[in-house]
Amino acid sequence: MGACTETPPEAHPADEASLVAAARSGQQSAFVTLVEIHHGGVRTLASGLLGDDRLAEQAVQETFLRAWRELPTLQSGRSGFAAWLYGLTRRVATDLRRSNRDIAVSTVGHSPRPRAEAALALLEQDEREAFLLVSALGLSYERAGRILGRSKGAVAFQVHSARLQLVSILADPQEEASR
Amino acid sequence: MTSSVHHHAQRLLSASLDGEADPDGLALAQAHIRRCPVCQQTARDFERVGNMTAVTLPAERPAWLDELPERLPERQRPVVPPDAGQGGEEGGSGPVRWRPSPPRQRTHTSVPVGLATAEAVSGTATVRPHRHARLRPVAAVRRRVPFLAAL
Repeated sequence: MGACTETPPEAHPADEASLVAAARSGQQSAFVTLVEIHHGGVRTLASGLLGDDRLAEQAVQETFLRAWRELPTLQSGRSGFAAWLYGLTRRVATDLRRSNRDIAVSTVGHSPRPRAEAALALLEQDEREAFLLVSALGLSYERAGRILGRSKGAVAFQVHSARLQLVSILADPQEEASR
Repeated sequence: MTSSVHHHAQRLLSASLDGEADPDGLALAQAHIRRCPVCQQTARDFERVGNMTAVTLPAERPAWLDELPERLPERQRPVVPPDAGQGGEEGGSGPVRWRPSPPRQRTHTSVPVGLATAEAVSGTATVRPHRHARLRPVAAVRRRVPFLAAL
């Protein structure tokens, strides 16, 4: 597990708004700073959605290139840059999974991925998306719902359902035996 | 005790882990869980799963970021159509002369680079990002089931 070795740049919301505005007007350096700030979250989401490191890395790069192209269409103040970016990541991941279906299938269960990651891959797509956005990336039900096009209640239900399934998938055999 | 009571308490417990439970509901759930071994076990399971699936956001600067500015396609400047009668000279300060857009070229290649960051999310994670953290090292943040330690 790679530990955080250096402090990444942080952006105050107001700073981020000005970075987004500068990037929208075509300033590449502002966009690169935004990528530095958000690539970790995008990578985490892509990795969880695709379950394949190579595809996840491809998704991250594709997401940011698409973000650069589509940034002028982002309506300021509507949902925030991060939420918009996560929505984009989800669409890119869906496209990649569709075009790499064979690769994705062949890697599940063969690579020595940790149990938790493998367990996430066993969840239904809807539940995995909701769980990753809320539990891994810390979004509220409402923001996750906006990204996923679902109601707040639906997200709450899916996160809870995912959690219950993960409990049974990741059950500790020793603890189970002692119950 | 009916299963719907457990179910309701567990949903509230889940919501509290996500920072979404209202205080009144949480107090009711807490009162139930204090005397219910089934829900106490679920609380421990939720906490265990939360710790197992927690991730540390990769903080390393990906290698491809250095090449990113070169790979970003040029943004088109605002243009005016030819019948606007304001034909500015090339390179001048006036509006850009309209011309048909060239076909968009796909500049992205699917070279797997920066795989070092993959290690950051593929190991067994023990820490998780704070709800409002923006790529901040999250070593100290670990979500705990509230009130579980007191049981």
